[in-house]
Amino acid sequence: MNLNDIISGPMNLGAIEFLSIALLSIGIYSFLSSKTVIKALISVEIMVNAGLINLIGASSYYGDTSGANMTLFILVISAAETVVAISLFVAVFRSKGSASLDVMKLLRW
Amino acid sequence: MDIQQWLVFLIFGLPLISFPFVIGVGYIKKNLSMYLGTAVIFVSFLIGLYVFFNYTVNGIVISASVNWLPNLPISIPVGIYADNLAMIMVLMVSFVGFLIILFSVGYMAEDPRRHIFFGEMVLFTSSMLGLVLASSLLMLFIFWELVGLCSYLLIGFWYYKPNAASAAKKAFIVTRVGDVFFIAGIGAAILYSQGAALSVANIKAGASVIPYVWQRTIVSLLLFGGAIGKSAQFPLHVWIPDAMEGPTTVSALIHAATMVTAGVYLIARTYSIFTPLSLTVVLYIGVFTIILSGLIGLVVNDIKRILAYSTISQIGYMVAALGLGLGATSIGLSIYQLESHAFFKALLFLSAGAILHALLNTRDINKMGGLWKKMPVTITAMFIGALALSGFPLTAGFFSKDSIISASYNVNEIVWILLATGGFLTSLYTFRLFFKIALGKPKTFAAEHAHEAGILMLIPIVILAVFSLIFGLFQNGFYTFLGGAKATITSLDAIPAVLMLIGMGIAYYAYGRESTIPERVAKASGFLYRLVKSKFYLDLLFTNVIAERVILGFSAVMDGFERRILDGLINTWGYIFKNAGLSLRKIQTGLARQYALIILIGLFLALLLLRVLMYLGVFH
Repeated sequence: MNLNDIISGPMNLGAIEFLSIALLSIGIYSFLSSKTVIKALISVEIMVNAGLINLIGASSYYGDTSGANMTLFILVISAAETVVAISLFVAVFRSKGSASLDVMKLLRW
Repeated sequence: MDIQQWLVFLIFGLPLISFPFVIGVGYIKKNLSMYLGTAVIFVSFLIGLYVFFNYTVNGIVISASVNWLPNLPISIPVGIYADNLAMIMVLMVSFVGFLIILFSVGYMAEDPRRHIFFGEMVLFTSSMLGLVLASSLLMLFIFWELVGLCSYLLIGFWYYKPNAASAAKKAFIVTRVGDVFFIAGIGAAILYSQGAALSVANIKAGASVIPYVWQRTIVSLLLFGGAIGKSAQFPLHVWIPDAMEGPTTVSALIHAATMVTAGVYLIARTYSIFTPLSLTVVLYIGVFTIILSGLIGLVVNDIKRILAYSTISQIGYMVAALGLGLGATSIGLSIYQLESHAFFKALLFLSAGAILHALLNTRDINKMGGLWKKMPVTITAMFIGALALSGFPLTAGFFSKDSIISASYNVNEIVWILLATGGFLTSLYTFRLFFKIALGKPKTFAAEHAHEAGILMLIPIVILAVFSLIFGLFQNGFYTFLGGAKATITSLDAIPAVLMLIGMGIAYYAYGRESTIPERVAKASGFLYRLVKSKFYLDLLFTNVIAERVILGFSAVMDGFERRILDGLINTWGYIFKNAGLSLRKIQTGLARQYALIILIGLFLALLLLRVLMYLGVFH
């Protein structure tokens, strides 16, 4: 089954690219301006999803499903890594008493 | 391999294998290692004798070699090559070695480390036999280094004496100078002959193994450089007198009879590649050494050092005989002198050892005197040795040395005069030594209470004395065996003998009785006496100028070069990176957002670069 059959109508690749770049810029800005780890994590997720939108748009434009397949994989993996990240943050919060990004700046012991 | 080849291998293989055992049994019982060591060398001598008699019947050169490193383009034979020359040397080395080790059983009987001593003596004898039987120059060099090592170990045997330790070091370093030339000579021989000249058989076959005359001159002079170091010729003779700090039996075996003659053997072995030019160098070095060491021998007071200088001068005769350039006759003259010298010099050293044993190691001849009455057998044997050394008619030295002097008359008359003068000096210093020891009144308490050595020490002395007397019988057979011309006694032979008798007479007149002549002569000659007394300032030159100024200065320069320049280069790089790290580490803050910003800027710049490159047409 072709993706073009699901999303019917002519594809506007430019619009999808614009959406992707806009989301990426929002993610970058919010990461750079974030002070808490939760906000930073959300920004990272936004950036990942911006990339995925770009990928899936291109996939449907060229009529090739491998981009969509890869998107599914990346979604699952990024969900798993979010879990790992949150558990690390919980551990940091327990030992440091804070989950601010700037707390974790010690490069060696 | 047939039985003969195995036997030749055993001649040096047996002592080589058994030397650890000789030391080993010493840890059970010290005397066992003395008996085992003596027995091993005796068996080696018997095998040598058996092979020699078989050889005289067959006359076939016994050789067996394997190629050491088959993958190399050149062949390096390792094995044995036993021809007439090697056979004669094997017999002499094992026989004299056996007698001296037998003497050591008495001489070293009370030394607490005698098992080590006997182990090293056995190792030395086996290395010397291996040197003689080696089938290639490289193998010869390996054994050459082994005898040098044993010489070092045995000179420094009483290492707790500072003199002995430094003498051992000096001997090792000075001979090392010669060894550098030797190994350069081997390298040149390989280079010029594509490796063919490594094999002793090829060298013996003819000079054409190395194609050009100038190449042969270079190789032979380099090999002669090695011989100068080992055989203590001018200017590398300075180590032998100091080497007398070792036990006397070591001096007898290594620094009189065998090891120091290895250089002469090397020249005789590679004689075919010596060109007229290099033979002239050999001749004049030999002659100069004879006169130089003969003069120094006149003023030294240490009994063993006088013998050491006389060894240098007698080896000078061997070298000069080779330098005469008479082909096989030269080799015959030289090797005959080598063998008779081995007998009478070993005899002199062993009797000196017996005297030192009796006099509690007093080595100054001015503190001896009147010993003929106290130790009749030893001193009589020493008298025979002194006669043979100075070439008294019908003793071994007369036949060997006078033949060389007479042979030189036809080559070069100036050399003949110098060699005859050397013979005169020989008899002068020999009988100065002998009369000071044997005649007159005892000068010290120790000399008054001297006594004859034990029977075990007298047997080798007597055997050697007999050989020193009768060795002349073998002269013509010897020359024929080595392929030289027969010796003929002419009226010329009388001149060295007369000179020798004059020298003996002068020695008796000046030293055999109470006299003030030596002091007056010393005073009258003034500067000349001081020059000779200080050994022509050669030791001073080597130690204070060459070693301390030149070598130490050079090594200080090299040390500075290494510390300042090489280390400086490396340290500068380290300094650069260390300081760069110190300043660059500041950009690593650990703040995640800052890193993200830097990544962003980097990404931006990368994209910009890509764009510029696309604009320039590098990419499409």
